[in-house]
Amino acid sequence: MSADEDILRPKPNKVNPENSPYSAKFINLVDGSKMVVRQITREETKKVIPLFYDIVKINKDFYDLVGARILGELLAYVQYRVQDEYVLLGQVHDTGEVLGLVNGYLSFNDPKIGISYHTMTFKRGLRVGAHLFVAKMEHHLDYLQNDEVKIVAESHIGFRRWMEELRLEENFDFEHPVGGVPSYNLTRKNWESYVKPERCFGTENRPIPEEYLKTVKENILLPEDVMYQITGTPKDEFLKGF
Amino acid sequence: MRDVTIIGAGMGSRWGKYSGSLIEMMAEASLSAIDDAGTDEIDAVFVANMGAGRINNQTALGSALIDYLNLFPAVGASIENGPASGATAARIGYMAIASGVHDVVMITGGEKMRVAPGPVVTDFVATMAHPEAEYIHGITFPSLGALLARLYFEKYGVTSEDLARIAIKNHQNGLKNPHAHIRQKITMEGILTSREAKLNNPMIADPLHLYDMCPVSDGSASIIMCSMNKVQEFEKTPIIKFAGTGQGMDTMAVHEREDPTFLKAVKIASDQAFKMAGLTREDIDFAEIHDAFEILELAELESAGFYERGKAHLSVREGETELTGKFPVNTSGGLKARGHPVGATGVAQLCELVWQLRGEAGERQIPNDPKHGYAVNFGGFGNNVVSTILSRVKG
Amino acid sequence: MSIHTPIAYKCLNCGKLHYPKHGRCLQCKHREFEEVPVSSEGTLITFTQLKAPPSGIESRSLFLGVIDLGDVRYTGQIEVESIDSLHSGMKLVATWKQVRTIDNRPIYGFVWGPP
Repeated sequence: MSADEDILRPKPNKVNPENSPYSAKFINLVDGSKMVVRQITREETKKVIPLFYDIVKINKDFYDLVGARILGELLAYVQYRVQDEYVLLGQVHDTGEVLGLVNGYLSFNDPKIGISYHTMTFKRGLRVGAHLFVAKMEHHLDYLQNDEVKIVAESHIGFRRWMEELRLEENFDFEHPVGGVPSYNLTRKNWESYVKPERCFGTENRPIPEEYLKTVKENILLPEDVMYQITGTPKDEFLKGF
Repeated sequence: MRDVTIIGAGMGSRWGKYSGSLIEMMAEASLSAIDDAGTDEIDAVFVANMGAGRINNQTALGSALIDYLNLFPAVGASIENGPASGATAARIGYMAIASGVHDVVMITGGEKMRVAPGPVVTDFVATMAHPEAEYIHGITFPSLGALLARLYFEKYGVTSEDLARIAIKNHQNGLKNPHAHIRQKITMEGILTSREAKLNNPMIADPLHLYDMCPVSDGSASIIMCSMNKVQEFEKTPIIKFAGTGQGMDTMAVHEREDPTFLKAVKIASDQAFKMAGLTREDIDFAEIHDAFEILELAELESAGFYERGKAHLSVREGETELTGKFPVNTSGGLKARGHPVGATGVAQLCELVWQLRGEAGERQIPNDPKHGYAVNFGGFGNNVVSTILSRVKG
Repeated sequence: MSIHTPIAYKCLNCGKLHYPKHGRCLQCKHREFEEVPVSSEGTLITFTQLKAPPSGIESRSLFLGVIDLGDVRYTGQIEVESIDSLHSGMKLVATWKQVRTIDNRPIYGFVWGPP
């Protein structure tokens, strides 16, 4: 490593996603499928990055904006340009289809503070986002030993899901790194008393069966009809415009 | 009185969220019905819609649709009767033709509801409730469904599992309907029995969960009605006769009904339709039931006389109302899966009856050449109900 | 008569009690009524906890029920901590309170609670 790289690459916090990784679990979805939720490595993240090349073209429900931001965050992750970043994927246990992604990182100033980056779902109507967002909180509070997580939303759907449904507190003097806007806060108290007991599922499904893990590691792909699901237009037709 | 037929049916693109205007959406369904009928020589257009004046800032939709599609010199009007607007417009179309005033009438129902946030749409639908006795207290339609469901649970032993079973069936049918808003497989484990079901299928109005109720949808549907003595001109077979129509009323405030579990208006509307058609309940091969809430599928089947009171859920448990059962209900997916753009629903129910009777329902076609189909379109919370019977008469 | 007591509309011809108001009697079609007080205590017939209230309602969830006052029934909000404290057949009493806003105007009505 050159001296320059040494300066540019952040030094991990004492507790970090590398030495305290999220333990994979699975969650039963409405359609009877099982969604494996797991932390992925930098090598695997390289396979996830191309999945976003078409997503950023979707000018609907903030997929373009959030997709572009996530794409940047994933590139930053594989190239070591964010402090203690992690990426969790939700994948169908027997196909590997990626149903959604959540990511975040840890504060350099205060290791008790977690920063939530983004939540994106590729299949609608399955409550994938609701499950994955809570898994992300679980990672921060139960694995990474944070006491609070700073959260913002770009989309109206996100705001309703997180700020309202999870009863997040206003923390408007904290400038969130995503957009520099006033932040909301998930506290340990809210986590222990409400979010964890009421909204966190799949915790009893650990460790996950080896064959599930094998399948989801070998198959990292988007659901076939993702473009149609989000835009209402079949993929080929949608991409003709680009 | 002249006999009346349906010679065209169409639903345009898939229901759910429509990106164009309300009139464009209704035009899609109308053109599809016109193409199916093979004629655009229409005398009158009745548009069924509940709330465009409130949520889309547009009124006088009959005029707008005729203008947009250049259906001149057809005349038209909008018909508003809450969620029963669709079947009400068809009933008025029947009257117009049976009386001899018009020969060919187009009925187009449409509603574009997904422009407004959830609580605003909920409030818009709730304006149908009694203004002083219900609406101001925060009564919404899901809450009325819940109040009815609790009475059903306590009186007849209906369970959440029974309601989930109906939802699973209707989703299953919806998967086979290219027009359906919700095309999503659901399982008992996923929505009710797993631990995760609590988040997958949250309680919205106890004891009703998310999957016990229909979604909020954009959508349109259209039929072309024609007098029987003119139908030969169109060489359209089989001929689908508008065999029976009935309409019944009840008190607006649900609490004023002596027995709120009995839907008197459904009974009145059904009895009238059966009398007009000269048929009995046993003659009906399949039905489209207004399941805005899955509990209503049970209550309406009972109040319409297909099952004894408090017994429909027992037949549902036996699979009798499934696509392959002896009395398929909501082959289209019902409001639960096809969606519920309020003004369009009653017309879409008639489209489904037409397609099933013609043998054109594709993957969800029921076997054995069905001859008679029944539909109930439920307005208000059951204070204004329209029932329709369609029959295949030739071909 | 005070608006802070539940009332019924009594038909001046046949005596039938109504709530809400009608222009003609549901029994005899007579057109004249008088307002009469009815019991402010009643029995809960059915209830729900609504977790998706309409716009105009501030709270996150709302308890609603149908209350039988003997002469007439009322539909309204119920003030309790949890749905576990509600059961069909329980007694409830009425108090006059703000129930919601419509176009930002406060709207008042009867709210029900355990005696």
